[in-house]
Amino acid sequence: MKPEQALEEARRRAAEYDPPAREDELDGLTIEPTDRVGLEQLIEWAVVEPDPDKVRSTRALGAPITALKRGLVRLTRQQTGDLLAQQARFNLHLLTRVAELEERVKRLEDERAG
Amino acid sequence: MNVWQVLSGAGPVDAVSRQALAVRERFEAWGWGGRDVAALIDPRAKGFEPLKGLRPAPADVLLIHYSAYAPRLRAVLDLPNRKLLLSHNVTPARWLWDHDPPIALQCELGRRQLSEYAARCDLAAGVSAYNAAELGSDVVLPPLLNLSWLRMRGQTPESQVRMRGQTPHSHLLFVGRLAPHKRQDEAIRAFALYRRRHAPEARLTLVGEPLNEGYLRALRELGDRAGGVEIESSLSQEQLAGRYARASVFLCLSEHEGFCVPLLEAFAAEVPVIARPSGGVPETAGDAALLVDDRDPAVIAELIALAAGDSELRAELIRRGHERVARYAPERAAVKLREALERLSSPARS
Repeated sequence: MKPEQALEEARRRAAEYDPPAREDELDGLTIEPTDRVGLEQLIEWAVVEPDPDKVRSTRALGAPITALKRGLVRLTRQQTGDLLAQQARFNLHLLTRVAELEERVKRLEDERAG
Repeated sequence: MNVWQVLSGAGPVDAVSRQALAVRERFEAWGWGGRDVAALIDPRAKGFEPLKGLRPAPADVLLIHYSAYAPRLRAVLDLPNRKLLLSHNVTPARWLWDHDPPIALQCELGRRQLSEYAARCDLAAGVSAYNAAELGSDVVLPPLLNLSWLRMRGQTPESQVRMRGQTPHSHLLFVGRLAPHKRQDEAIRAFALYRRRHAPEARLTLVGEPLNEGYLRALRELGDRAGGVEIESSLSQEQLAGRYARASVFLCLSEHEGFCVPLLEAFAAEVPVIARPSGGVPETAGDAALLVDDRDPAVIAELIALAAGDSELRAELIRRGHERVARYAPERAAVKLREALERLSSPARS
């Protein structure tokens, strides 16, 4: 067979497949998104709440350094709190906008599908 | 003449780094000077210096290899030297959002940045006409490929058996990054149908570096469900040559390719090729591959059966494959590269 004839021949042979049997053979052979984060999870992440227990030193005899770091966190609490509030406000507004757009796209897709 | 090669990143196995090293060998053979620098260097990569070592004389030419988002190279564009930008292609982000958002973001930025970089260089070229067209250019500088490391059919015990028609089963191969746009998932689906309908003992080997651990895991699970699939990474050149030597069909269903070097590797190893005509594939493969744009895995499964079993078809594809390899001989590619660089450095340039 010549290469130019191969595709037509393959199509002819494939047309003889029984479609339901073929679907059965391929059932489950797909890859789902492996790093897709849902809207609910994003909303949970949107309000940033750092855990104060994670402020620590990993060095040997790091207790004084941990105490110093935690003291600095307390001293700057007003400023970091304001920063976190601004960030959370932005995140939530952005997510709301994304959710609205998702709904709108879905509505349009449904309308188009009839 | 001095030519400095500039890369966004240099690694031990990536195609662009290997390409830059091959180009440097040519420069040295021509008696040209210059050095090769990269913004990021894998400790295992040899032959590259940090970007801060880039100190070209005013008459030196810069050859910028572009293959990824490279904000650190922006400063290079401010240098007064003549510059040639060679695009090796950046994957469209849409394939990656569901599996690696940070990489998708880098690809998105990389593709946006590419046109800006091209506009700021004196000459923009692609490794294929497809890549060049993305830059609005018609300058094509194909890669310098040395395929002598591939053992031809008949030079290994496996291939000797295969040539005598004693191969107990078909062995399919695909070489390329284990990533969504390469569509190893579609290759597995078509292979599963082929295996059940034609060759229960058939094997599919997928060789490549994974996008990330999550995607590799998903691909392995898919391969396990289909059966007969093995996935391999970080192979040496000799090991890869062995995979080509035992392959009976090379199956490439990738949705996006700038050039697709593995096609030429398969041609050189005398393995018949089935490929999806995406991006630069039709240009690289010419008439030497069975190009199939059908989405129906049954069509691809039947095409595999034909490519694996029809000796007349196999012989003709192998013959045409030799012609493609000759067309992309490194000597020819080197002449084009030299002409482009000499034109760029010529005082009579426009």
